[in-house]
Amino acid sequence: MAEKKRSRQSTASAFGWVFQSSAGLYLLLDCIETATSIKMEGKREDIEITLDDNTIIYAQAKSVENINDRTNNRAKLKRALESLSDCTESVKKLIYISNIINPLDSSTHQQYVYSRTPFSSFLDADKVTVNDILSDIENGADFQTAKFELVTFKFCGEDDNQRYGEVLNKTKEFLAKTVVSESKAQAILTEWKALLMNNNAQRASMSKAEVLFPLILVTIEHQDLEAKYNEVCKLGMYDEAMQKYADFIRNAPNKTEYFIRVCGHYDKKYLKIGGDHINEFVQNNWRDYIEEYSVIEKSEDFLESLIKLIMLATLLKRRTIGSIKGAAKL
Amino acid sequence: MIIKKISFKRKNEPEFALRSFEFASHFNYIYSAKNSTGKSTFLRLLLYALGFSIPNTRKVKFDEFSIETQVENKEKTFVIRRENKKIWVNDSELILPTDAEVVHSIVFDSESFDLIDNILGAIYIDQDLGWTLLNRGTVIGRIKFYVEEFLHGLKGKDCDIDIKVSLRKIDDELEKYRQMKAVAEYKEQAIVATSEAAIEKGEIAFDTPSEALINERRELLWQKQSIEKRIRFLEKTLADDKKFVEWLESHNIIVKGSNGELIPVTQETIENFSDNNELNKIEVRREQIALKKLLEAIAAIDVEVSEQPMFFTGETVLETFERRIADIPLDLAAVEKTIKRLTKDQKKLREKLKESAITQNKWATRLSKYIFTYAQELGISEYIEKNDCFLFKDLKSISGAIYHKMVFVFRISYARILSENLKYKTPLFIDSPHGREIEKQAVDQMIEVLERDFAEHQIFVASIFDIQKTRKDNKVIEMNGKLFDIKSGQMTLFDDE
Repeated sequence: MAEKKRSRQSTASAFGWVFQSSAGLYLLLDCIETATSIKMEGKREDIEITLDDNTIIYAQAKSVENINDRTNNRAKLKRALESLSDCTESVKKLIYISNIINPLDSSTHQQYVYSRTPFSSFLDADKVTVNDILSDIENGADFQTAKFELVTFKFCGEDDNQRYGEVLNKTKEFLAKTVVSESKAQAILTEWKALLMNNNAQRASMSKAEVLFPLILVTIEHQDLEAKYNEVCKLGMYDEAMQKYADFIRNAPNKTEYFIRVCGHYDKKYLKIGGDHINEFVQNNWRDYIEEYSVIEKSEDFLESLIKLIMLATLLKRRTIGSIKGAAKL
Repeated sequence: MIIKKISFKRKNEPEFALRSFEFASHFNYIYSAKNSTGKSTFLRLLLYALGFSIPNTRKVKFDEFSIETQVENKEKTFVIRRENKKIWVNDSELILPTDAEVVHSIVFDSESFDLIDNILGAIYIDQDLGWTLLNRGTVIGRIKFYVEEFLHGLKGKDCDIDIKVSLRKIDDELEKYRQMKAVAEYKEQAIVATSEAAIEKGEIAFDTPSEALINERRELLWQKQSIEKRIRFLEKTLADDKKFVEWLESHNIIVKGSNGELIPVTQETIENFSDNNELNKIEVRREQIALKKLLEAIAAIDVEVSEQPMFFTGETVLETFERRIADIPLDLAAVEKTIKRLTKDQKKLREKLKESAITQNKWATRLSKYIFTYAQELGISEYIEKNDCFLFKDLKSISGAIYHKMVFVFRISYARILSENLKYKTPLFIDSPHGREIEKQAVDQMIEVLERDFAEHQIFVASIFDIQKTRKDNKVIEMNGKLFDIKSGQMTLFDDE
């Protein structure tokens, strides 16, 4: 097939844009439990993360497409400090986040490679470098060095897997605290990238829920019900039922009235006991829903499979919501 | 059943050009000493008027005519008007060929589609193919006759319905696969020819960048539809959620917590409401973003396509067709394999149907008895065996006059059994019983049988023989070759005897 070759080479500004989104996510995941909202391209800084005590993490993101390019390191650092110097209210942290290996042009080249270093832990010579720059800029004297941090993470390469490797690891770290499988990390990251890169989202503040809920969507969207189905149903009709009712099974848990009814039914029985009793509940209670679904399905086997799959989809969705909200303290 | 009269004229002919004929309730001889005077056309017109898909003759196009026929059956009178694909039965409008079964079901008073679908083969012998049809084959045009279906029809409308449904499905599939095979064969030829041309020109003929773009666009459009559908569903769900919570809140319900605290029932306090509702809202936004991206991608493709000035220009319809055909993934060998398998299945099912058509079917027994008796009378019984099996046998090894007589024997037997089954006398339409090798004596013998055993049937016979008329109510309609001429008012109207 003669296909027009489309260059995957990003322009410099596009690369900066992508890096900034990734940096926002990287920082958010580091403080997900206390964060309440995130703003990309905020009023003052590239990234502004508000925490539950109403303090704000301000971050400046600077990147290079070629990590061996050191020509503008000092200029980038200066621009970042100039911008961060303007942030004086409700400051939790002032962060310079970058993919530059040695953003301070430190004589000890490897000192800050892919790490998070507070100003207090800077090498003395590097503290001097920062202070010298600050003394040279207008509001430098107001800069709260005690709240300053340098964050560097690996973000390079043409290949997405390579480029987003570190952000992916952060995503996996978060998922490890939830019931969501690590295998979903890639899909979730893709979703987040799209969300944070979206023009509408770029300048508006997004609540933690707005960032996390798409993660729930991705998780439940690609939820594999087959194994669960086989645990609660001996009919072995998963493929047939999905072929006939895929849309129906996907849509049913979206209907809030139905969602709260099934979840409420489950809670009534197991709220006080706690633990996961989804299989037991579905096996023992699916008949309660026969009447409403017998209108659309006459075959007893199909009906049982359909009801069980809808109940599973609903309860697993609720479990995912609960788990992600719990991990992020939402 | 009697066809009382027929009136017809071309739609663009004046009113006075209307030809009208009333028919005798027994024999109607459509006669002319010469050939090519319109006898067969007239018989075919009668059947066309009743809603059958009768093909045009070389000179006369039936779809140009407006035809009205009056038919009496079981004390009911039907006025049937036909104009091309439209047919009115007592003013109820139906469309042909879709409603043909319905029309015939009303007029012939039978609910068995097996019978209805095969009825023409039992009542009409066409001058050409008609005299070759014994038990299965073409009656005329695309109308077929299958004796096993006919026997099933006699047996009852619902018998062996499962096999019939399966067979119908296989028939349909086979038809499609055969067409697919034709396309696959065409594709192979086209690709060879076009590849040669492409090599000569030094270019690749198929799968141009534009074509790739078009395919990409098609895929994006499909995705767009799917997303739009999801958005509609989610928006409806959100509207339902809103109504639901408003309804709940309007009742001002307050519940008591385990510590005695009072909690008003609102969307915030209803467990699981907000999460699900919020998720739906976020999903709508997400789908809208995806939709926006898709629309941008589609627009980009449109720009790219429009910037290709030579996009398919100068391409003939044939070239476009060949290029598209080349893009259809068709594996000729796989198609042929499927056809082979389906044909095998079809054969098996037909065998089953054949077997069940004669098993415990009194009509089959009676039919074979009639056939054998008539064959004896016409002196040809040695060519068939006295058992049910000959109903399905291929008797084509018999030839000439004997085969001609055999066809007559089979067909009048069908008509007789059909009449017994339907409990009324069906009309018979026999075109050219004289045949090519048949002697007048044999024709007279056949007519005698008809006079005797079909005395209460209405019979239309078209012949060049001046067949004897023994009853007063018989009628001769003599053809002069002008019946279907354009009536301009200058020409003499056909003289009805």
